[in-house]
Amino acid sequence: MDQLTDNIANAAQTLQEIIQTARHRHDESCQGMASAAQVEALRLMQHKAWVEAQGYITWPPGVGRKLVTLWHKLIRRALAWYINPIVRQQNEFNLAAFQATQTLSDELLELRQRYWQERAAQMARIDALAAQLDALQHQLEKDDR
Amino acid sequence: MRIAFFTPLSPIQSAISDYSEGLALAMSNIAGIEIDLFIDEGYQPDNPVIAERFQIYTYRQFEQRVGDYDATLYALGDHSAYHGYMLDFVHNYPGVVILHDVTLHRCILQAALNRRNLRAYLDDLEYAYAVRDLRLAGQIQAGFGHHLILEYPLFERIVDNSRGVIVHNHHARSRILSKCPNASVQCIFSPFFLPPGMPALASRAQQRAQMGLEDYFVVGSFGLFVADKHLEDCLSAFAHVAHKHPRSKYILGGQVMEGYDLVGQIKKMGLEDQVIITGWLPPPQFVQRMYALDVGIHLRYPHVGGTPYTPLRLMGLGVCTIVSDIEPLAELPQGACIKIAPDRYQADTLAALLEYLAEHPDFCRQIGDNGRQFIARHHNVDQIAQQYVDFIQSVLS
Repeated sequence: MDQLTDNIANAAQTLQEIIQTARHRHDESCQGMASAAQVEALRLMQHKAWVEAQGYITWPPGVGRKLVTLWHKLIRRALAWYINPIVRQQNEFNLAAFQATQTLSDELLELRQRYWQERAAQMARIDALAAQLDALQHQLEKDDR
Repeated sequence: MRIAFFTPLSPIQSAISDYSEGLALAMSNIAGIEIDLFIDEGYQPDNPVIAERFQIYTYRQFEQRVGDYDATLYALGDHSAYHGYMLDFVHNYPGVVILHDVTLHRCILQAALNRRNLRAYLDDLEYAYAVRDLRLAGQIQAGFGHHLILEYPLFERIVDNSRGVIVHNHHARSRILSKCPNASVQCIFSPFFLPPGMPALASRAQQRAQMGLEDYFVVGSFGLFVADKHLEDCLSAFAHVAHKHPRSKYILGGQVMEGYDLVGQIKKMGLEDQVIITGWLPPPQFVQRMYALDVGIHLRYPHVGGTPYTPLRLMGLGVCTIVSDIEPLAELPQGACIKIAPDRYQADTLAALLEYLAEHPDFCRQIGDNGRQFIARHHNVDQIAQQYVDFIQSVLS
């Protein structure tokens, strides 16, 4: 590893720590709000889930290239009996995977919200107990005197 | 080899003008290479070095000179005002196309609208996707069609008609090959150079002193300011840092797109005194301002597949550069620049990074230095010009 590669790797490590800390802080401050990134990822997944077995093939200019394209089209048609069932199966799987991911995502969101509610309740209890302890300590000091 | 190079030149306000000037100059330095430039009508190139070094013609003069050239090179981007004049030539005189964006939909659509020839647009749509539907054009014109220009990039007929295509990142190459598997597509990285004719840069300290920015933490963003550049997030992160480090400035070097109320945003954030908007400047002045920065930010999402040139120039100048972690910049390693994911964490991540960089100037300089060395190693203009020439020769043979 040369000096530059070494320097880049070291800097990347420091950056990773800063970025992770910032993301963690953001999560803490957002407290289980619906995640825009999650919604976007699901939207993208849904958009990409459908695989097209017969995408359009252009007819490029030139006899040679037209012949190559014709060959591609013929091969595709000849293999359709083999390819199409696989693509159908892939699409069924993609749809099932998308639905499963969406369900998990909804459950994750619900869990996250419950976690933050629970955390807020626990924090409130801890604050109340700390206040009680302070009061008791204060009382003890007063009694000692 | 004599090459006819169709490209916009400065003062056209496009990064492609700047790019082509540096590339043409480096290619013409190679023995045996002669380049003439073909531009649109209605303007005079204003870079004296380019005007002196090259024969510059308008595109209308090409047909009578076509026999003089061994190859034609087209610098194409998705902007009809700058590239629309080339479209007929790309088809009539096939050559090598430099695709700066991985969609030409807006360029082709707008050129067809300008010529009142929507049939040409529909023919292109039919050729590439077997659809003839003007509703696509309607959605794109209305500004709701970002996903459509990616789904229907409309480069197919141009790529199929060209002898070769040059792109600047592997993502773009695979996007083109997925649509046109028979095409000859080469990935050649963008070259780093200073704008031709630019006086040598003073030291960074002198540059900052000239701008009255000594002892300041200077952040900046350059280019065309559109919503996709996420300047609200940049400014809100900067506001966070400026609160802790009042001697901070943000330079916005570039043009604000119509309908985008950037000045209003700055006022709303109370940053009027700390943000400097320069407006569009000729490339040498842009570079001088870039050079004065501690940190350059160039976020971009969504993108259209092209490699943005500004981050490469910032890195080449040794400026610590923050970019979006997007496919067209996949070749830049984290650590030579700073890459942040374009997600909901963006603003907070940016704020944390700026704060760290403001408080750790050595680290900031280290990233800048890593970037400068990386660019010097992988984006050397002479090596890249040679790669262009080699590719053109290979497709000609």
